[in-house]
Amino acid sequence: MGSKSFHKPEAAAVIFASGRLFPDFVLTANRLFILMIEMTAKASPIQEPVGKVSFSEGFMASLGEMIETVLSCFRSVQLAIILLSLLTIATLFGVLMPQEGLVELADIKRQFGANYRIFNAMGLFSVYSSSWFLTLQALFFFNLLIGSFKWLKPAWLAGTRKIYLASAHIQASPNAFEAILGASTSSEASSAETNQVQTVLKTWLKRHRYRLFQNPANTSQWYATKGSWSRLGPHIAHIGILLMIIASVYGTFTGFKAQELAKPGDVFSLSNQGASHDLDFFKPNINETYWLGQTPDWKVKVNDFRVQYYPQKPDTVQQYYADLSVLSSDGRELKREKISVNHPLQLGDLTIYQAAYDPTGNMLVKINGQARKLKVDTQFEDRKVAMLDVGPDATGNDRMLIVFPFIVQQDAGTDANKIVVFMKTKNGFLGADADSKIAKMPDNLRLREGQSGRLGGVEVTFLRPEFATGLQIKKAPEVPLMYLSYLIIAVGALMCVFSQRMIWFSFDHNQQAQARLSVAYKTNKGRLSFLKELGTLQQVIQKA
Amino acid sequence: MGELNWVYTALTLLVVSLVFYAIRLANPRKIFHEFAWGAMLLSMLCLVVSLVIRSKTAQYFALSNMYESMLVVCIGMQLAFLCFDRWFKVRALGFPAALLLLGAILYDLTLPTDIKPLQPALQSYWRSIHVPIILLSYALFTLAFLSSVVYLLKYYWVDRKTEAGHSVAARGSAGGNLDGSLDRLAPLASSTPQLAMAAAGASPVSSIKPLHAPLSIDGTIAYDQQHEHSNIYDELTYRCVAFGFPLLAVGIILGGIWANEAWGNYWSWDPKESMSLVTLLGYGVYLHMRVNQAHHTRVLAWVSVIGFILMLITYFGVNLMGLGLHSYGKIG
Repeated sequence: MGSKSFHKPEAAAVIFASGRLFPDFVLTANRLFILMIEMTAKASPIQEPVGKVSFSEGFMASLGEMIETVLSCFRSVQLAIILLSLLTIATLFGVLMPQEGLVELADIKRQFGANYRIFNAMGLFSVYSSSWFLTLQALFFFNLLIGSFKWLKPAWLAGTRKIYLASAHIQASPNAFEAILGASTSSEASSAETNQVQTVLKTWLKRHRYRLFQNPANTSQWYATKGSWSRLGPHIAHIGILLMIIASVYGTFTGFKAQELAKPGDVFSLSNQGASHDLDFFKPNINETYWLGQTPDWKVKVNDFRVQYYPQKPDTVQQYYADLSVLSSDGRELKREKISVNHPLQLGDLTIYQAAYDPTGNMLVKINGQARKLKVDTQFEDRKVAMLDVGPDATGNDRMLIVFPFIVQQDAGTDANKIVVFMKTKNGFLGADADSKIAKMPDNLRLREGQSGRLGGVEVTFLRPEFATGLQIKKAPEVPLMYLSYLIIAVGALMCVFSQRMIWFSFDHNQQAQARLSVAYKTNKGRLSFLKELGTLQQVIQKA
Repeated sequence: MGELNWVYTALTLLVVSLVFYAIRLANPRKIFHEFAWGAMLLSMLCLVVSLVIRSKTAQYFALSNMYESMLVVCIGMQLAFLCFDRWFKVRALGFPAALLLLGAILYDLTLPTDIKPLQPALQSYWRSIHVPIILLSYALFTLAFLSSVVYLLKYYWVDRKTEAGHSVAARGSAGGNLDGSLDRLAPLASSTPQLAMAAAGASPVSSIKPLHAPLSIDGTIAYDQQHEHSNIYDELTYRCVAFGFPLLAVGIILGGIWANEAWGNYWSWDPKESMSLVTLLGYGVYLHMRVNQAHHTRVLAWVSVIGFILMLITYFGVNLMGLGLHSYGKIG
């Protein structure tokens, strides 16, 4: 653990039990711990000032060193590993423990009984909004911020710097090989052999897309590299993550969510100012005290809403379509669009989604060719039905239609939306045999959507049930920034797949005066494929 | 031939592949490897045909339930395995890979295979982009897991007795430090040139010798030697994770964009979303530990195994619970 660096190794060992795994991080963290002790000691009245250094100078020097130590702590990869591990475990808690919002609070309380209060105090039922999870995220943010910029320069240098190695350096490298370019010891012959190999090498490097650089000070030293741009991949991805967090914070302070259940023909205002606020639900993304966003002064009109079912499977919804108009405060139409699931309406940073639906209790029908809206509001035995007076028949007998609605996903066992229509006169139900001892079903019509039939001289067409659309309204000004961050992360992450390969060549003579080529090689990943490529390099050198 | 018959054919070919890979474990002759590889390729093509037939019947890209998604994972895993096997020619991985695939397809056949109409939320081109990318990353993580298991078995049963060549990830390998400095090229402990290649014909090159390479680099990297070095499996795990990680990241990102279009929220902390983040973070830990170069390859192999368990919880666990917005893949 490198205890020679510690002033108080015992104390440090107690604090960081994970030291064996993360030695550098522990060193830094321990240094911080020791600095804190030193600062406390300097601030203590019992402690005499050391030498000629005044208390304030000593304190400031310690503070500076402490800030530097904190920064170096924050930019360490070890801290990234620790934070990533903690975030993994914390998120796992969020999955395994029931979370408020996803599970009813009453159910959670019932499940955990007496333990509820303890777990709740620990934030385990709302992990993602708990202070400790947000603290972890904040620490991760600073680790990324400081770490990314610390490693950016070395990565840039590693990608762009041209380094040349002398044979002695290559010979000392753990990843190197050498080739004796012929047995000749005469300078002319060995020069010809070297030229031949150099020509072959240049061809090979070009074919394998290496960029070749020769040392201007010593042309026998070459440096070839490819894929240097991939070095920036992790940093680009990290910058993308930082941007994503910034976008998310921006959205939290400026965005809102709202919901509205509206029937065709309804107009509602988006504004939550004063009395005009008529949304079913409105919530800024953060407590209203800190919220910096605004609601647009617009109205939304639901022109039409339809539920479309699969023709072969009329009990399964294929799509929901809502025809919406966004109106300005003076009633001017700003945009009209037919939205459906996956195809929201977008106007500026406001988006309106088709999110839900609900039967309004009305049935749209045609009676003798005339469109009518039937209200299902009359209790008939144990069901709600619609009743419609259709006037007297030829004999002056008053007639009443009684309509029983059956709607899929609302009424159990219904395989398609339909209505069952009966007619009632003063003599009772049409077609009912009152005298018969055997119960007989009165005359009726069973109509699916679009079907027509005739009952007691009245033509009935069932158009469809009327539904209200459940709209979700969202203002998210951060979306463009968020998508940009996604793009940057994706590009960075994909760049990480590639590696930088570097090969150093040095031509000289060995102790027997034979021409010699020394080759050192290095890559940051993809070691085996690189070694395979080097195998072909060896073959071409040999064949040269 | 119906779609299920193609799956049964794929299964039969997989058994053939399994047998040849088993023979190859004991006999390193190249012909057995070629047969095993070929049978695996044909098996994959059969699964592709089955998926195409199913998609034509359903009139949408058949990737909407657990049966179909597992079929795609199997295809992805076969594709990744075929590429890596061609590339690295690792001997001990074929048998466990074929065995796992066999188990996966057999399990898949127990799941409901009926084709259902797509619900509105799934009717989006994003489904054909977001889901396959995620599933391909799962396939790569599964391969990484297998490779880690082979590594660990080799490590504990064979290599630990000799311990040579093992220590820290990427250390002693062809470099790998972040800042690109040349520290790794610096000091030389001992130089014992072992490999000398005979000069060919009139070539002026009389010999090539590695100064001291961790693996021999005679162009074949000793793949077919009797005792394959477990570092190859460590490297394979790393390559699989290095490919899988960005795929999962991109898949999650695309899922976020889709969710924003469909549900009005790019992130809802839905159990499936959270678990996929857990998996991503887990493999993020693996990659950062790798970069850090302070950890033994054995530790990394265990982290890869943990990552795979997290992936399994994401893929199966959340579906078994049938929780949240991603309940399409619900089993049963």
